[in-house]
Amino acid sequence: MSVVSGDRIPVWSHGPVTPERMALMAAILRDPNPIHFEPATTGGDEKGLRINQGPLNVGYVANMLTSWAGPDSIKRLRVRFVANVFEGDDVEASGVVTAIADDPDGAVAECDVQLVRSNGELVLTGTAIVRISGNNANR
Amino acid sequence: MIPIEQIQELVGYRFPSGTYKIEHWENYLLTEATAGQHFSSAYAHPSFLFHAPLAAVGLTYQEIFDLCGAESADAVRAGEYDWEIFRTLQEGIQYQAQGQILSVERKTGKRAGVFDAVAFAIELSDTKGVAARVTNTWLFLRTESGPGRRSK
Repeated sequence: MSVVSGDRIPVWSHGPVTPERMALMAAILRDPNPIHFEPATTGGDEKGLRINQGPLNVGYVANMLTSWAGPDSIKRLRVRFVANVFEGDDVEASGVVTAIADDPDGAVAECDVQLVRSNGELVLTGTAIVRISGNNANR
Repeated sequence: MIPIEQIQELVGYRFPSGTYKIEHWENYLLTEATAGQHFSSAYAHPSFLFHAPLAAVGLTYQEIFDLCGAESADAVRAGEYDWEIFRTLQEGIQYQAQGQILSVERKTGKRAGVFDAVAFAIELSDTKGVAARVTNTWLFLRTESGPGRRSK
């Protein structure tokens, strides 16, 4: 894989986000918070729609990275949450390589990453360090 | 509202040590939940870095909520996750976990109002040493008239 600073990571898209996947995640995590599997009966954001779990939102960004560089490629992932994803949303994970660096395991790509929902709202933003095997890029 | 002095006493609190092994079925299902690709390898989906450390130290979400004085499950938000991976987690490996609460900071946000940012770190180790370290920050809203529901 040839990677240089400024490369855009192939976008990873998913949607719509479904209550069934949220319920599955809640069961795996043993997360009892009903906001993930019960429609709210009163108040709340977005007309009481179920809210996607944070680990799922991060998971979409991870899916983008592992689809690009392999299932064992992520060395570090740092994210900050700024908004929610709701049932029915489409989401899009994207990223850009900001630097190539040497690491004891070989070359790594430093990346800016983000997740946005269908209305364009930023959901999370962060950085990643990804192992890029066989990189012969110009540093 | 819980006094800041009381919540700051949590700094240094050490979670119970414990172990966790990722089974193939839960890796498959968690990957499915993320709509991710099923790789043929035994590597665990990266989102296990949220689940496995907490499961390993044996704390339920409710116990963490209680520990940090959450006013309700609705009053807990995700703040930041920092996942350092030295060896990709794999199915079938018994990971040892140890961790502690690193910091507590009371802040006021335009939308969130008063909240406490609680950061904790948990390391997962295999037979070679530390395989991964997670440092997660959860936000505990301290105002009853918060902005509504939010996920962790």
